[in-house]
Amino acid sequence: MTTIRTLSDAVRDAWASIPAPPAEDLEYMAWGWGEAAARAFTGVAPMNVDLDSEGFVVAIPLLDLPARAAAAYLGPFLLDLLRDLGLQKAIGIFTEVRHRAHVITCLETPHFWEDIRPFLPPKCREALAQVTLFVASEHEAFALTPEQVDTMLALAAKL
Amino acid sequence: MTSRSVERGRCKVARHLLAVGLMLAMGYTFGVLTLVGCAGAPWPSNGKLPERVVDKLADCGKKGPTPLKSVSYDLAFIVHITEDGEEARVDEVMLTDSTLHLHEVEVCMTDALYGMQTPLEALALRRRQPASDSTATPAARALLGQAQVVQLFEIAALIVVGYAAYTVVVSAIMDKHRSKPRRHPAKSETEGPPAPAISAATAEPTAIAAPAASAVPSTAAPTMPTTLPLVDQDLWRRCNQQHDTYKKTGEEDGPYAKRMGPLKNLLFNDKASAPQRVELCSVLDKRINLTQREHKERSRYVELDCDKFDWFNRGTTKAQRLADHQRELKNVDEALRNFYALKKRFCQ
Repeated sequence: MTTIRTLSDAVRDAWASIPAPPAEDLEYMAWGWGEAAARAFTGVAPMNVDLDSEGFVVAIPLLDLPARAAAAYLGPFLLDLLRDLGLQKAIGIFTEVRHRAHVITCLETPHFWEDIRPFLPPKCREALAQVTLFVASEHEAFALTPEQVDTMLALAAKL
Repeated sequence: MTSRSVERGRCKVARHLLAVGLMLAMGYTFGVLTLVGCAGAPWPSNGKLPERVVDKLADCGKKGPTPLKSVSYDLAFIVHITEDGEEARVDEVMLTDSTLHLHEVEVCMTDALYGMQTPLEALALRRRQPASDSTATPAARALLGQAQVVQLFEIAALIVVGYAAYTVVVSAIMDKHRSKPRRHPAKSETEGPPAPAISAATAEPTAIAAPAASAVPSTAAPTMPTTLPLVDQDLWRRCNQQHDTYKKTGEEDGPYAKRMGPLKNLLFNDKASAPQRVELCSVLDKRINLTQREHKERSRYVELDCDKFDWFNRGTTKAQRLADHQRELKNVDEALRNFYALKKRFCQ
């Protein structure tokens, strides 16, 4: 049975071998989201990004980073999405409005999938597909429209 | 208004008066005069633009209007000088203000100032004793984002062509954090497809191969392409400012989010007290207010048509950027709606 915990483990496992993208991929992080954000990501491997840091919380960079860095840092954003859903299920409310909207936007944006696909190892693609299916299945919790669900599922099927 | 801006204003008036006075004295004529001593960093005692550059500026002026009575035009440029080993060179020229509104002349003068790019001339500029406390003007700061810049000097050259007088103000700025020239990093749709931001990926998906990353965050900021039409230059500046506005709002969320972390853990583990639950709701209110404000500011960015510019050199089209931003704004709307409904129950 797919649970938030098993999915989170799958994401961690898949992205564990992904190194920090080159600094030039993050050249405009400080300009885009501030210095704290630049510090949170620059030179940091995806699974070492501190999800509780101010820099991570303020950043919504996946549609603006070069595809290689976006593919790498999708991992921590998926983990954050799952963690926040876990909180919602446990206490009845989620807290990361900006990040939730950002990840959902990525998951329903065709060119995002096309751009990052070449940079995702098979394990990451598999984990991403699983998370997407799970998000679609939790459409009520995420307040997704049927169109959004259809789009996400179609994109995941092509992965 | 600060004393510095008052001083600037006085100097602008002084330059105008001098320009008009000179024209009255000279009648229909041609000439070049370098004015020094106003505002900004201390004026170099021999502060002049290189003669060859001044000659080119004058040639540009000849391409301008030929009025039958005295007319004066003001053009302000920021010349960005980069330190590179033992040399300094001009790597960027930005037209920041112009009362001329004649693109051909403005571009010509921009190119003329690029003419200072020869190492010896530029090095000479750099060596003219920058003030230790001198910083970039607010306008320059807006253009250069958050870059740490130092104003080296400001020079005003008066170029008289017939009855037209051009007051060309050149502010020289050096950014010690920039190590390589970035002449046209941000591209508009009108400039053709931008270069890919990343090297071509392999057809067969593989692990993300990346060289070891440096842990030093970059302070780079997009710079305005000098070839942008004047109308787009204005838009570029407004969009850059709007970006800074919503970025600051987003940054304000950081400390609240951090404060919320331990409270979330307590609640998640069913260990939170009633006051801690109330505190979480209070912090949530503050964060949501910020999200709403940022949402409005980002909407304004979209309304201004700021997706015309590929700020991150991502290689996306204007249509893609616009669609991405509209989709994200819509999703923030939906997430907020969902959040309000849940919060009503949780925080009552």
